[in-house]
Amino acid sequence: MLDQNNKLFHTNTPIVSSYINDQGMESIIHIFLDEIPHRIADLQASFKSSSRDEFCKFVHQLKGAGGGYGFAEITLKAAGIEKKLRVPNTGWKEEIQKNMDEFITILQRVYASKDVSGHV
Amino acid sequence: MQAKTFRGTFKIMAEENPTPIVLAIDDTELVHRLLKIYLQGENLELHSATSCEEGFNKIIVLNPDLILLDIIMDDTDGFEFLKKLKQDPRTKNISVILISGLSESVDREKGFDIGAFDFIAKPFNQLELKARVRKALRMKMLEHKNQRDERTGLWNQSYFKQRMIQEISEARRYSRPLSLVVCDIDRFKKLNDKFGHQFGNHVLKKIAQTLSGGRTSDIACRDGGDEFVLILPSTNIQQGYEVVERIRIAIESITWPGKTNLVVTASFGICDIANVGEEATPEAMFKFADSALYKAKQNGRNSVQPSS
Repeated sequence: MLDQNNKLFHTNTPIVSSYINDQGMESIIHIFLDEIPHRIADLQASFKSSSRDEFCKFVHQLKGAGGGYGFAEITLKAAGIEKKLRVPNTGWKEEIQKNMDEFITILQRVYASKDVSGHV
Repeated sequence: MQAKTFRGTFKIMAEENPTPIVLAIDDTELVHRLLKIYLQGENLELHSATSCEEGFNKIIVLNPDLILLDIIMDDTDGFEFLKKLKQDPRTKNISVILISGLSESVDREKGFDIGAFDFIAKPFNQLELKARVRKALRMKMLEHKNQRDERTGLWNQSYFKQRMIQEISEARRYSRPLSLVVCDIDRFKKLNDKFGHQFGNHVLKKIAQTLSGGRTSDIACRDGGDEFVLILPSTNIQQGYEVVERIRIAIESITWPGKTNLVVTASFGICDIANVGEEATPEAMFKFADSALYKAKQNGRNSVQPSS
């Protein structure tokens, strides 16, 4: 399982907000990025404990908000996972494991944009 | 509490506070932060709630002009909440824009069927959000302008007729009581003759203020001249009588600056939908309440007369 100490945090290409030059958005993008490790932990914990509803909720929240903060990749990936989760399936974890890993990687790459020069 | 006092007690004075109130209901703090930034600089006062329960309480206190409502929330299905708002006489006329990650056309259709004004898909774009919010508020303002009586700020006669049709239909559909009150200022012509039209207008405004200062669910309208009507949704004639008696006493107790001994009073006739029966129409209910008002006048004025 990946966590925020994983080196992927630093080795993946950062995904930078499309609002990088929007000064009005600076403060909230900064908060959004700061919260990413916490959101990854929530996703991983609910996935690990098979709390499908809880997991669904976290994915849905990121789907709705990611694009709004300039991270369309988050919305796209979350939408894909949500679509799969809508289908009743007892083996849902196996079904979305790959997507989940990819989603976490995207979130880590977003988090890595904190270090990008000129970013918020 | 300031907002409650202002908007609940006398919403007709909204012209004095032109900043529209928008309430966003979404269980994600991430979205509230975005809305705050996106709507910054717009001529509106943005409030937020993170659950439907909190949202409903804020709606009752703030009486917002527009609600931005998320569909998928932890505590309630947004569609169900919208239904609740559209069935409650206190909230059914508030415009609602649904904001949701559900973007299927079937979801949009469902929202519009229940009574949503508009639909915005998440993640939303700042320009689109602003444009849709402005449009909803503009419509609300236009509606407000066309349906208000200029002198008193109360709803006008045309709004009264339209609203009565709605209220009668809902009273029947949900088997709810509905009362109608007709009010006439006692000896208004004499007041006008004695103290002048300017004072007469002041009296009309003060009485309008008193009529609309009661329960937030009641709808006060000016029917013309010195006659007013008050629609009391979900209220039977006994409950209505108590409401109107309080208003009668409040009017009688108004003090008029510079006219120490002056007491202005009003007479009231009240009927409920049960008086009129199956044939209830706005005109028929008005006729019953107006006949009761006539009796109140005959019985010495300054009283509330229920229809028999």
